[in-house]
Amino acid sequence: MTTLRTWAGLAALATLVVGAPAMAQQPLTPRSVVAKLDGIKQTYEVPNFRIGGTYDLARPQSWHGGGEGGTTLESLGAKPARTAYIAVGTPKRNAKGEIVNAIVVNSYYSGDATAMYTNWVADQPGNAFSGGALVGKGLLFDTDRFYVVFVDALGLWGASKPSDGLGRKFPVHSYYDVVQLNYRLLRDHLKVARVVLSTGVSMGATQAYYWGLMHPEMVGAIMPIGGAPATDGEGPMAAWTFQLAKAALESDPAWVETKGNYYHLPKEKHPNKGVEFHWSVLSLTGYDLGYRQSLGWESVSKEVFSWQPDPRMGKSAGANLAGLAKIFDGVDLWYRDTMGEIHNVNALLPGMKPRTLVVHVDNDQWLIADKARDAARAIPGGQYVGLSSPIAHYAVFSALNKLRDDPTLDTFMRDIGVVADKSLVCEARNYRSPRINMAPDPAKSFWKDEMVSPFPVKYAKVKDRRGVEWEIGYMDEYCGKEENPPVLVVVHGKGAFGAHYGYLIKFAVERGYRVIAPDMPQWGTSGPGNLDKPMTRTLDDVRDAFHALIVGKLGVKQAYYHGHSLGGSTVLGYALRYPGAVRGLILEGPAGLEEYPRNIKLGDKELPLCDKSFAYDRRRWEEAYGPTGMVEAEMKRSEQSVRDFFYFKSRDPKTDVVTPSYNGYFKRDTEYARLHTDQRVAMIKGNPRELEQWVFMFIYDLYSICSEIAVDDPNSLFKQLHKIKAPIFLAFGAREPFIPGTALNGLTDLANDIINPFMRRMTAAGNAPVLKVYPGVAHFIHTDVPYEFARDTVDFMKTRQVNAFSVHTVDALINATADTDGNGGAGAKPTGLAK
Amino acid sequence: MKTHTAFLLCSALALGGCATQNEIAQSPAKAIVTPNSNVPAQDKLKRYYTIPNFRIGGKYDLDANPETWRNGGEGGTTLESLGSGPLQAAYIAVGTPRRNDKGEIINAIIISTFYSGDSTWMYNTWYHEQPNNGFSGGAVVGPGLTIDTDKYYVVFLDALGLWGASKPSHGLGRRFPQYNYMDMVVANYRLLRDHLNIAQVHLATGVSMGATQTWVWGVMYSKSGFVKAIMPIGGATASDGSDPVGQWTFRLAQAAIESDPNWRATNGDYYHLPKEKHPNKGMQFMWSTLQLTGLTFPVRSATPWKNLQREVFYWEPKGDETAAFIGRVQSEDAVDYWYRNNAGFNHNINDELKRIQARTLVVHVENDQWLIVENARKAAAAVPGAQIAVLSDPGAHYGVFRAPNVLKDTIGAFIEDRFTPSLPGLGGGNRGGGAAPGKPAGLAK
Repeated sequence: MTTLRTWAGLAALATLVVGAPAMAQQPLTPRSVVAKLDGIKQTYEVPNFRIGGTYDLARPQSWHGGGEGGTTLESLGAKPARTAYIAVGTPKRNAKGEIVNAIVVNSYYSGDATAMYTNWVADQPGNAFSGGALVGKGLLFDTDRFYVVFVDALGLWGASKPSDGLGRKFPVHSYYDVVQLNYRLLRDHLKVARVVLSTGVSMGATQAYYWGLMHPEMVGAIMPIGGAPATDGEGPMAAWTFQLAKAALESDPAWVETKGNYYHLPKEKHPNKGVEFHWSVLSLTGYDLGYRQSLGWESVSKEVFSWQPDPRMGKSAGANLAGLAKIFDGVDLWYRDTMGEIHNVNALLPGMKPRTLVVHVDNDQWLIADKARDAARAIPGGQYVGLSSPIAHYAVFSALNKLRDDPTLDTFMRDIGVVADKSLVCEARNYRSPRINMAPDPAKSFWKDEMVSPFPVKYAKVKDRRGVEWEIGYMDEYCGKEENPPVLVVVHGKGAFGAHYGYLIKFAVERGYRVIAPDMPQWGTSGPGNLDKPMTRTLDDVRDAFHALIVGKLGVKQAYYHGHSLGGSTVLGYALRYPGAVRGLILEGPAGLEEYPRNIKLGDKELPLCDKSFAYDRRRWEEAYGPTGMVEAEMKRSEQSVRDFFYFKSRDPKTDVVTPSYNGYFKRDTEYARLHTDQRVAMIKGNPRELEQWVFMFIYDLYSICSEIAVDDPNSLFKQLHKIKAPIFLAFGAREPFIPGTALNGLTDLANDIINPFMRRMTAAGNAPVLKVYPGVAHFIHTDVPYEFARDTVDFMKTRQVNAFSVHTVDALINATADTDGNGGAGAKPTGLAK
Repeated sequence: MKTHTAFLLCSALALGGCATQNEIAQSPAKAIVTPNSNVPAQDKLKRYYTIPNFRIGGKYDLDANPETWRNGGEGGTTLESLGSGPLQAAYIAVGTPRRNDKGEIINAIIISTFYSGDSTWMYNTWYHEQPNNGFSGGAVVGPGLTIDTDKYYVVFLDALGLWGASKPSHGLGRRFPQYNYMDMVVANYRLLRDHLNIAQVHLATGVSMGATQTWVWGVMYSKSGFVKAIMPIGGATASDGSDPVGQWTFRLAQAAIESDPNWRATNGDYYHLPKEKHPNKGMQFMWSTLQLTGLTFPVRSATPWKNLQREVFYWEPKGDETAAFIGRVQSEDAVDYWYRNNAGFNHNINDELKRIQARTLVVHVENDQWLIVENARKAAAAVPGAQIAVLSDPGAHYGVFRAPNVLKDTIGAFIEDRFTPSLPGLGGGNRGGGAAPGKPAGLAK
């Protein structure tokens, strides 16, 4: 039997058990990290696989058997290329008998299938380091629903590797080779036709990028956890760190003397000290340095290298390093480091097809988070979710457990079907990932030509009561089979547009709702067709136009109306104006629940900012709003300013120092947060007339909102709210920055100035709303917590109830937790004009 | 004291490898491999003092009268006994001396040097109207500045082991006695007391290893009243295993020096060989290892590779790879640094901090990645009445140079002894924690 030996080495391996196979002809390096699991590891050979060749992604057939110009191991007198794996779970097969529910877990830098197995598969000794198992019955990667394949990576352990005997004659290989070899294993041997998700930690995450780029026909989604899109000079800290490690390895006298050709010598004459030095260099920055310091010398010294023993370093000095030198071969590590030096897929990321969630440790000191964020941004629809940890990079193993309740991760897992959702009734086949052309042609329509909406946009011409004819762009989707399905109308907020609500639309469509998302006249896709129409219009005009479209043209007599912010005001008024058309209201951070003075003091001037008497008089409006300078300021807004503002940052114009801001849009940079950001940024260089229209409306609709709720207007929208009979779901983010509009009315307390008075009033009127406040969420509930808000909306429509207590709510109520995730913290209330 | 005319002459030509007349006369060196000043252009300002029969590497009995160690610690080795000239100290003095009845200076501020630096470097960055003021965010020492030369007599000091002070590369190489931080301080005490006639140091300060020496000044010379206040900026009271990250970092640096085949072949005894056969690559490797964590990771990551690669070590560099250090180590010597690192491995005065009777303000960079702030906090807590002020800096450890400007009010008040505990930076926030966002004024959206 094998002898088992634990060693508390690198944290990643700390929990692993390593054994030296007790075979007669002992190989230089073992086949598995965890000897105990070696028995369940399978091997597969791919004959004549070319290693180290060129991969042209446009011609996949050219690298089916490895990259063009590569070298086969057979040609070097060795056995065919070999890889290894452990498969668990329940295969689901298509009509051809191919597996369509695979999840691939790639191996990390120093690891293999057994290492990831012990970390992630239930009831293994390595689970603790991962904060619990992830693969097993009923777990995140549910073995009752998925076929989970843990793979080795070419170059170490159970795959072909230099230490098999070729040493430095082994061809220098790339991540392409690693992934293509494993692809052949999956496709040819395991008969996998569909990979639901390719994931992995660290270097396993890096391989996930390759899976997505090389095999979009097979891979539905990738989730790199702590990987790197580049570790050459475009991943500069990784390049530096690993080059130092390599230099350390190369400094060993045994290496210098043999130039790495030392297999003829006994193991004790191999560059073992160089291997120790290599690991010590890497480990120094593996953990957060402050945390490392707190562990004390007795623990830390085990990873500290010196050429000669030094009694001053204590008895444990280098203890872990010696263990590593026994199981790793210098040449193997040299090749792995070299593979990193030639890795860079940055230029390919815009072509990534599979859905992508980049998970990263924000304080990773090897693979710095800025590059992971950039990667997510470069990938169409790519998202990023981060965490911080004292163990820095090593938190990759436990990241999914640490982020268990993270809305972005949760939403992604549901999107790609890893988390099952039984409420699905049909698939929204028209759905596509929305996109903005970031280099728009100013001569084209920005809204019509430069944006891909999540669903096809239709256009209709309708008239408001004044007789103005508007061209309205709208989405209208249904995937069920009912003749008269329930309908949800989604009404966007100021500055936004229907497509921004794509997740909510898709979610409701797939739960059996017909969803109509019109853009308000002069906004979004209802902009370009109305450039010659009056820029002044009231929210009643909007309501009338919508009524003409939804009830008039589309024949939807009654629907649920969702309204966000400005849209909230709009649908509140709609319910009063067209009570018969409204089956229920979903109010997301709605405007309209407060009153404003007609005149607002700005400096020493008093301006009639909320005076409805000049609703159609552009000149008087300019007189009132001109002095605020708001239109000009918005017109001049730079890309940097957009990105800072949207994400709760303020930047000192002189020093460029960034500090958290109270105001902002997105606590989380989710897919639809990105869409809005991209839209606002790209528009700066887009069609100038449409930009001008957007900017004007952005300020003008402040007036549209506040002129309806002036405090001295006896017939104001606000004063009539109690007359609404339709059931209401009222949703607010606890970090709502724009409501109340402190600058206009001096109110500062969302709870006691807005929510509680409204709840009392409606309850007294016999129409108590269903209320939910989302902890840590700001004004954009549908992008901060996409899944939760969409589910709540559908729940409300179905049952008139929502689950008011998420894990975050419970945590916030009991622990009085501050807003710690996402962008920025809680700050003082601002005094500025809010949304 | 004698004037080093030969020295002045050759320093005016900014030649590397210039030695003082004294050294050339008395040193058995086969070759002088490193220059006397870190900043050649400031070399002419540097002054020297020799201390005969100073025992290096001895043991200091801190309970004894400091006068008993004025010739170094017990059991130490004099350079003369090794056939070399006497111990040499070096300095640059500026400012306005104020004297007591005996004519002794009583308003000195001393600035000890950092790990790889000397008085010229500190002068060049801290003294007003010098080329490198920008590196420190502005001058620190000068008329009306934080360290006011109208009020104080300011002495920038070299430290035993590098540049203008006695050092292995003067010729003894690995026969040079292993010095310690106490030797550095006591040798400079002799310079201050005997040569410059200083009777009282108003403030001892310095950055990084200069701060480490500052701690030692406090331990050795505050009870006697010689040092009235200390302000270590980013130093260490221990750099053995009690400072695990610092120890690890510098052990790797030392291993890098020793990994050079030239070091290995000669066991560090290579002065008979020309400079190009010295372990220069080992030195480059050392610097690259240290610099990996010198600045914060996000700052480094945002730096383009074409710049960054200049600091990345390769045994066989191509193009600009390693360029920054290939140039740098031309004026540095591996044995000198090996000694300096080794002195650090022996350094631990944690148990002696209670001896400090000087006013103490500990300044530290909160996100220092070499000398972790937690140890500075512990050290401050061990000194009765000491305060700690912290700052954050994208340059991590290198923030020490800017500290007097970043914490100008606090440090200024400490120097002038009008210190109150409510000044900025005191007590410190959390590592990496930002301030709460301010209330934005005006129209926000």
